Amino acid sequence: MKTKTIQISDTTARQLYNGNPSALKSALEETFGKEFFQKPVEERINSFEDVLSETGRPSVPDFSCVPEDLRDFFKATYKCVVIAEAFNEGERIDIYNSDKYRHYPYFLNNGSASAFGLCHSAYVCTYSGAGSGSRLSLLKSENAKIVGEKFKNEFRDMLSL
Amino acid sequence: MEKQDKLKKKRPETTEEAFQLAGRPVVDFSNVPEDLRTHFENYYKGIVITEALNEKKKPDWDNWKEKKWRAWFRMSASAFGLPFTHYDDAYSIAGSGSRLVNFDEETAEYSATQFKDVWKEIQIG
Repeated sequence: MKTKTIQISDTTARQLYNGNPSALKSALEETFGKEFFQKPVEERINSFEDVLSETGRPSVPDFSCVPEDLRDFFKATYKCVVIAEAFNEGERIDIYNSDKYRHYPYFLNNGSASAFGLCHSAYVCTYSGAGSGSRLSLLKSENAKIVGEKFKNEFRDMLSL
Repeated sequence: MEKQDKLKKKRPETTEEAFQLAGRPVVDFSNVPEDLRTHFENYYKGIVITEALNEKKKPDWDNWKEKKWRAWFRMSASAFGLPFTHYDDAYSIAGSGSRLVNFDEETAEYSATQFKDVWKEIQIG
């Protein structure tokens, strides 16, 4: 996870101590830059390293606990779970709330690994397919499409390994 | 009828039986972040149950004619349960996982009802 050190003046420290929220905002903007806070998630995440940085999750475990033939599958699933977590910006989906749609990228196999690609995104509300899990669903339809395109290889591995 | 009885005998009734039938070990997911452990533990159980029910046969995703059945659940905290099963041929929804499908509707239904708690924990864990 990337980290930065915030340096604050004596005046800002006193303002923060006295509970002035705008002082904290200014201090954060000075260190990270305004753009850092304005960039939407779909622009700031372009790689799995960005996903780890966004979520603060450790890198993919080696899954040496599971039998060898399942390790790559679990590694790919971990990646997809963390990718969904990053794009949902930490919000955990309540699967019992039928008013809240859960979106998934949908892929067409096209008969070969090289032709595997995003077909469309689909949503569910009251129903859930076995194994789909709240941890793999996206809150926004557009993010389901973006995830399916940007992280096609990770999803292909999870679905095929 | 005889064939059905034979099939029934082979079917695991508990997760322990599924592990035995599939020849898979029980594992400890302590190397996974703590809040994700329940999800991964149950995903593993789901894979082992599916392997035991499918007698280790793997789906062929290049074969459009081979139907791959999955259970769908009604999501209600008080009444999590199986409303229907569904099959895919060439399409895959993220999370459906090639390791979690059965080759006939009856087996998918059995898996969903017999191991409901495992499927529920994958959803919420």
